[in-house]
Amino acid sequence: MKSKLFWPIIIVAIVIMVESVMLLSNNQIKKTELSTDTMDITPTEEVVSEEVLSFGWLQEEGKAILVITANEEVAIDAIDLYMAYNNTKISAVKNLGELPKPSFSKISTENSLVVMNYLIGEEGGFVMTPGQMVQVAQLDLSVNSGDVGELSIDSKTQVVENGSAEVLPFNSQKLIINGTL
Amino acid sequence: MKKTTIPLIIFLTVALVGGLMLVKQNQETRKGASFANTKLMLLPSEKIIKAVGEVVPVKVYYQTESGAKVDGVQAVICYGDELTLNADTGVVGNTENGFEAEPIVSIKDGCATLVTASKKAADQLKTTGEAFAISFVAAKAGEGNLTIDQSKSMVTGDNAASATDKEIAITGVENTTYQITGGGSGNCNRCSVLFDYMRTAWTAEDCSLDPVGLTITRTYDATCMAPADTRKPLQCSRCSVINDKEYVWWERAEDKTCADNPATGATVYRAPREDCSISGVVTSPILNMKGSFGNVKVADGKCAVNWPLQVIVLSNGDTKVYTNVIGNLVTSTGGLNMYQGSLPLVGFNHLTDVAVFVKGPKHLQMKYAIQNQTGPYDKAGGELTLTTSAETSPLYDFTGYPMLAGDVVGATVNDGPNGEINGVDFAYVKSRSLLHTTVAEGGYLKADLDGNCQEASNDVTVLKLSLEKKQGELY
Repeated sequence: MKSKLFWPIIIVAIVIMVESVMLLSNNQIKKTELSTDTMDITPTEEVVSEEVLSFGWLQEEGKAILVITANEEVAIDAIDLYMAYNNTKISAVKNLGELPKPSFSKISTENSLVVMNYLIGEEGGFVMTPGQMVQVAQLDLSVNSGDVGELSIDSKTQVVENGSAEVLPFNSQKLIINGTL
Repeated sequence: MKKTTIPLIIFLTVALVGGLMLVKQNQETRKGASFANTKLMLLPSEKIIKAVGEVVPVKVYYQTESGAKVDGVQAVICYGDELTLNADTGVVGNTENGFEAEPIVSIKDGCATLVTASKKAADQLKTTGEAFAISFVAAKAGEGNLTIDQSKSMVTGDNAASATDKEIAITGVENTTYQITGGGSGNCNRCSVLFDYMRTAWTAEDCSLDPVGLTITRTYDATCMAPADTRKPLQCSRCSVINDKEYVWWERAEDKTCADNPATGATVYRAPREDCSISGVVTSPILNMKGSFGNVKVADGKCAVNWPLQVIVLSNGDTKVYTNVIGNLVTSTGGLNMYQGSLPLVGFNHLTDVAVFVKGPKHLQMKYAIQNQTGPYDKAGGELTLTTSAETSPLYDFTGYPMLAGDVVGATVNDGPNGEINGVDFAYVKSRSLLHTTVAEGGYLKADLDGNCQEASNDVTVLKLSLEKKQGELY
């Protein structure tokens, strides 16, 4: 009886201590890794609040698609979009056609930003209904094996309402991309 | 069994609790982690005494402990309304310490947030040195404090022990004070409402009242422009031809010009001006330049007249601001409307390595630093050379790099231009273009970017072109 309990308890104690040490040394939240030759893309909620709009991400192999979802009916005149990236190589940015062609679009490697300026010419702006999700842009990307890439909406980003010309509040998600073998 | 099981359970519990505490402690430590300490200081530490219109130079220094080397500084500097600061030209990063010459500057609620980072290798970073040189401009008389907001400021440095823990804690700040004296004696001080370039000072209990019957001290101030509705329309001014270092103002008769002397018995107002001589020669540097407003075409720009410019000159860290500068319109057949002018840079004492920043009323500020410039000048400082004679000072041609129109509003449509063209500017111009408001020739409409006297869809196009060009330059 004594020998049956003694060793399992010792092993559990050691496992707890080892995991604690690993957590300390890793110093970050453990991420799920895929065993395939792809990337593990994990959206993490950055801000949780009821804003007029929400930026989020859809993932495909080697691609990330930025989407915008309306939480209420809204008409948009302009989107000054600044997408920051880190530990990620962006090879192309594409407008997916749901919004008009942006007036400006560039991958700024010097600033680690993808910049897109959508200026809506229609008199009533680009109207979105509650719950409607629009694909804004597609980023073709890659992350080196072993690196953890990140995409986020930079603080310079603003969405401007049609008519009032007011900046609309929004929330956004980060996209964590775990490059694995 | 009891003898071994109970100690083991206690051991297990302690291990579990200890592990959790360590993890929690680690997370909390990281939130406010810093590997060294530093002080941030504003220099000079003694009271800065300057007159209205003068530059108030202040430097931001860091001084770390334990040999920590600084690679980034965010300093939030707060100041009173006696001072103004131009976000585009008023702050220079110290390049010798590896910082960017043109740091990020944002001004809000009487505080300027300055951000810069050093690109030098770790072994070349410094433990003590200057991060920013700030050139405030004394706007009005009074006293105040220049303070560093410690809680909002931040310093980072090279930490050999960690690639992520770079924060250096700011453990102390040293602030400074200033006193701005008026352009003359007296507790009341303002630009004259009658004459251009004239600043008046007088003593009274209520400075909001006009100084009728009071003794007025007058000084020359190139930044003063009398309001259109009160300005003396027949006014003339020049260096005195009787006294050296004196400037004079008078009202001419309707049948005379400003080239004529004041009529006998006319009231002549006098003020000291160091760079005046009786020969009429002004010893200030003269900036001769011509430029153009983007997308304002000769054939259409009937309302692009007398658009006031703000001109800022910079050399060796010194700046001087000149507002309401009106260029003479020079038309070029088939081309863009051009303006040309000769501006005496009173109070600016540099003839070489000059850069000029020009901003129209609805335009982005443009930096000009070389003759015949056709694109952005991406270096710090400038290469312009001036003389003190309008005849010999070179005429700089900046028409190849027109001012970009579209900066019409700020964070909201009720705010003034904020130095960038973005979606809010677009939304404003677009909304105005739908109204098709028209004014008579020579009139002014804020969203009339092409100067054709109407707010219309073409103005939206002009804004788009400006935004595209500027974004291309920035990114």
